[in-house]
Amino acid sequence: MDLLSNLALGFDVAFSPANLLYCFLGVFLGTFIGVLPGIGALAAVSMLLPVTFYLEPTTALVMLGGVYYGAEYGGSIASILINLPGTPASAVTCLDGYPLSRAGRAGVALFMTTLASFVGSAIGIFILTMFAPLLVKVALAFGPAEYFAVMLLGLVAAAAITQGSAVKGIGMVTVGILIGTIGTDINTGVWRFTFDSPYLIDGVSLVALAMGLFGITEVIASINARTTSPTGDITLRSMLPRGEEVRRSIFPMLRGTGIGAFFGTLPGTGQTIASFVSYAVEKRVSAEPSRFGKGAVEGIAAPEAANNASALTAFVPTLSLGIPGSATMALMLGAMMIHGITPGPLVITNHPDVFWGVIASFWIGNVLLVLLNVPLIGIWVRLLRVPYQFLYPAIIVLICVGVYSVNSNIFDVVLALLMGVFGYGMRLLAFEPAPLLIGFVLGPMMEENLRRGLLLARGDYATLVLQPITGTILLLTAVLVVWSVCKTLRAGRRAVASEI
Amino acid sequence: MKSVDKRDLAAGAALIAIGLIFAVGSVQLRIGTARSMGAGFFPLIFSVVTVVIGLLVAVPALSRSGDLVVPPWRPFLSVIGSIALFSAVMETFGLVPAVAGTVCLAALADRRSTVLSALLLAAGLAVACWVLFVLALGLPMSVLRNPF
Repeated sequence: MDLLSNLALGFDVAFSPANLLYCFLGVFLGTFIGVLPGIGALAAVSMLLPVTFYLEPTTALVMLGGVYYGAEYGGSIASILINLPGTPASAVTCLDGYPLSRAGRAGVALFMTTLASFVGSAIGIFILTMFAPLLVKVALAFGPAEYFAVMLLGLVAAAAITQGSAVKGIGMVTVGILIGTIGTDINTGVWRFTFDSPYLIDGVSLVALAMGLFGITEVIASINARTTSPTGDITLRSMLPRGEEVRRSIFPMLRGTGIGAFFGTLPGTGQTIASFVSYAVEKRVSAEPSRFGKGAVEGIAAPEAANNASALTAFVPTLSLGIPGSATMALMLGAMMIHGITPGPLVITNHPDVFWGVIASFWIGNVLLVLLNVPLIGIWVRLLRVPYQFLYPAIIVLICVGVYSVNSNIFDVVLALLMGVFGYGMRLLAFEPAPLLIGFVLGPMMEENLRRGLLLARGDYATLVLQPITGTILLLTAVLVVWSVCKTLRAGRRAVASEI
Repeated sequence: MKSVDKRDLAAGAALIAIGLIFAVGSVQLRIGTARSMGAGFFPLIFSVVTVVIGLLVAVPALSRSGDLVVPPWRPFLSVIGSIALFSAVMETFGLVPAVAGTVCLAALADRRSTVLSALLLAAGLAVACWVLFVLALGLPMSVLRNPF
């Protein structure tokens, strides 16, 4: 079996002492940062990105992967205990998690989160293991035109399938693309929008952009936010759910996983939408929808499973096509490029140890997550009791030193600051920052592929578009655009959008 | 006077402004044609799209009402100020003064901070950064520097 020998190689890499250690560190630090209120997985990954520059590429990706799903899990802890979601995706967990917590059953809520996350992750990794190599086979036949089409689809999906206004989402994507054009044009070598500053020749630093947009913006927004402390201690005994509750959650978990896997694999869409959709579905299929919002365990199980399933299946397009499935994946792609690995279908043949090692480490990391978090839950509860006024200055310092350490260049800190001001302003105007990051990473790739494709087609758009794969994907993209415009128009007529 | 959605009006205006800035920059580069693109072609297309989207956001906002969200100035200014202070102090005076100054200024954001708690936190974090980044990770940065 080809797959088995590949997985064996992967586990061989993942079980090396260094990778095991950094996998553990990643999961631990990720959960730690994720628990902090207001700091999400994106901020966690961007804060720890500079730390991984000194590691081997595989180890770095293993650690960042651990940070990623660790932070997702940590966000759920904060949602349940103090009703302050660490990540947008875990905002749904607040709906039923916090009422359970108020009723003194926080332990059960945390246990169900752990269980549902694990089920979602396990099935997600399984899909990733099976599906990514298949997609690689397809992707090897891809030329620049096909890449351009898939990237366009990803960008439109990122913009259209958001919680807020689709038009604003598209606006953020195009702004991201424009910021991505800053720097040297790879085709002609001309400097674009650099203001003749030598610091901008290589373009805007991804770390500075991500830290500014997500780190600095989130810190400003969460200072002086209403804070509550978790009440009571959580014992292992109080975490055990009733048998009937577990039974009731099995199907919601599986349905959530399915929904999560669908949205995760689709390039450009992330976990937030997956968890919201799965919550809505559970509410609709439930025999007693009135229980939702008052502490229904299914209301935690389904979105948590969806969240984690989509977090892991988002690696499918990222690892096989080199196209980020979500904003966090855009950061992971950036990390790969910084480590000298060109993302795309060739990764699996050129760097099989990286590809399979990272996938195998997901298994280890998710088992670690369960093993770690049942005994460590007391630590996270205590962390949530630390007043925020002691935490946020530390986060700011970590951001500053982190950005500075990438190139030992103070200009990057100034850039992060400008991005923070910009991001905060956009947040006040109800823009979502995630599509911007996707546009920033995908934009330059899209331009390169479009221009290379045009060169190959001798400038003829007809031969470029009228190919079976390219044509189909472009048609899908057009359908998505029409759908999102219709959705926006309908929402406009309804005037008041009902918020969950 | 008719009421308008000030938030979306501002949002649209921001997009239009960004699009225009990049459009002005693009036309100074070689545009080329759609068949053989110059350096300015791709950014020009997307600056035009950004302006159009800005209009799509701003125009409907004229016929409904909404309020601009006023930012909480205190946390905003003190966080921004603290990072600006870091970038000003880091290269001239070194890591420890930069971290300490950043923490003190950042502490102003939260009304619950006291002078004592801010100073203790500043000292603690400065030492922690020195131990973590310089001693443990060995990052090349000056800890304490005399600029004169």
